[in-house]
This record gives sequence, structure tokens and C-alpha cells, in this order.
Amino acid sequence: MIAVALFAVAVVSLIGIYPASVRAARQSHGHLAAVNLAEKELEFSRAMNYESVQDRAKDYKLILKTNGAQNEIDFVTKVTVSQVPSRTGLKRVKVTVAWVGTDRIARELMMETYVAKLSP
Amino acid sequence: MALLGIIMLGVYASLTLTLRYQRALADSVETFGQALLASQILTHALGTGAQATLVIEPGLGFAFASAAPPNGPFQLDSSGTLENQKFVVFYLENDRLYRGEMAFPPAAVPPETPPVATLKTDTAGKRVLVAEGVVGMEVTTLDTTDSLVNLKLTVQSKADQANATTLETGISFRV
Repeated sequence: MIAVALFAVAVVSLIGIYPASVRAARQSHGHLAAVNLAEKELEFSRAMNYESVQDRAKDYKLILKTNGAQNEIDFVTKVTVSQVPSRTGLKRVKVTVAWVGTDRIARELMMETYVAKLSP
Repeated sequence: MALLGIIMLGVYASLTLTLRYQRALADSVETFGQALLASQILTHALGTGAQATLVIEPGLGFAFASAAPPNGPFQLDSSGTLENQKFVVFYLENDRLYRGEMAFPPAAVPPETPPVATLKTDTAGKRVLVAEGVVGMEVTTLDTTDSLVNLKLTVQSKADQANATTLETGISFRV
């Protein structure tokens, strides 16, 4: 009986790990989506004409249907462009992606790159 | 013994549900990737297009005139505005999103955008697959002064139809 009770306690505490792993997976999915959106904005900036690389913002609504259940995440991407002071013809492009996860916690991710003016 | 049985059943149920959820999330990574890829291609294409030429056919697709030249820089007409070069069409067929192009027929005045069905037939030979599993695509004009359209793409998992990703965003035309 004591052995069963000890086993039960151990197993019940282990069960708690599963919801935690689901939460972690959900958070990492939100993070992955944010990374993809940030990379997309960076790629766009790199492909743009140097003069056209300017501040911009874009909203994305992501509706995830998993096993029939639906979750919505709103992402806001902001691209901030600044001239590098010491280098002419070089811009610093900073992408910030903000979102509120399904756990109602506000998160933010930032990535940056540099865009140079090239003479043909 | 009965207690042990109940506990083990609980463990089994939790494990099964967790694994099912993990699979669903893995599916959503794939579907999100397809939706993002499609939205990126659409953003690029619409960025070369003219909103005044946009034709939307709900449930089928949309088409517009594009200023993207086959090669080299964009061309300007005598008034200094971008010269449209071709029609671009995006349409759904068997849960796949395709992109087709049709060059302008030689004419002094640029023609009106033909219906999506016509362009779909004309460009079937040289169409490009943009994304798979696309079960829904909605394009709505938001604000004509801002040249903005709202795009809503729904990509469904191939493995499990209960898993899908919908990506909604605004895309700007160049002119």
C-alpha cells in the first residue's frame, strides 16, 4: 500500500509536466512565427532599393486551428531605419515583432541588419 | 490496485493528448510556412501592380496589371508613370495556389484586365505553384487612396484536416 501511494505521488507529479510541455511548445510556436515574420521583413529590406528602405509597420493576424480548437495571435512588425553615423551609404534596419501569446503574455523579438548603398 | 489502474489511465491519456497536440503544432509550423511564403510572393507581386486594374473573383482568385518587366529596370511612359507590362493572376485549383502571367497584347492603349477564368486558362501552361494546401484565399479592397488590400490565406494540413493556419495581413500596391 505504501509502495502504491509513493508511486501515485510520483506519477501525479509527472502528469504536471505534460501541460507544461504543451505550454512551452505553444510559446515556441509563437516565437518561431515571430522569427519568420522578422526575417521576412529583413529580406524585404535587403531586396529594396537603398533609398526605399524606410520606416514601416505591418500587422499580421495568425489564426491557428489545432485539433479543431482555434487560437488567434496578433503580430505587429515595425521596421525602424537609421543612418549609421560614421558610415555614409549604410543604413541600420531594425525589425521589432510584438505579439501577445495565447498565455496573454506580451512578447517582443528584435532582429537587425545593415543595408549598404552599392554603386553599379 | 484500482487506484493504480486509474493513475496509469490518467498518465496514458495525458501522454496521448500531449503527443497529439505536439503533432498538431508541428503541422501548424508547416502550414504557417506555406501561408507566409504565399503572402511574401503576393506582397512582392502586388508591389509591382496597379490597384486600378485589380479584378477580384471571390472563391477563384484575382488578377491585375503588373509593371514588372521580363528583365532590366522598370519602364516609364511619356508621362513618367510606370508602364504596365503584363497581367498577373493568382488562383486556387485543387487546394493549390498558382501564379500565372500573360503579356499585354500589342496595343497603343493598355487593355482592361480580363476575367480570372480567362487568364487562368491562358496561363495554365506556364503557371507556377506558389503554395500547397491553400483552402481559402480572400482578397478585399480596404482603402483605394492607400492602395491597400486585405489578404486572408488559409492553409490546411495534409496530414490532419483539423489543423490549419490562417494568415491575415494588408498588402500595398505600388500604384
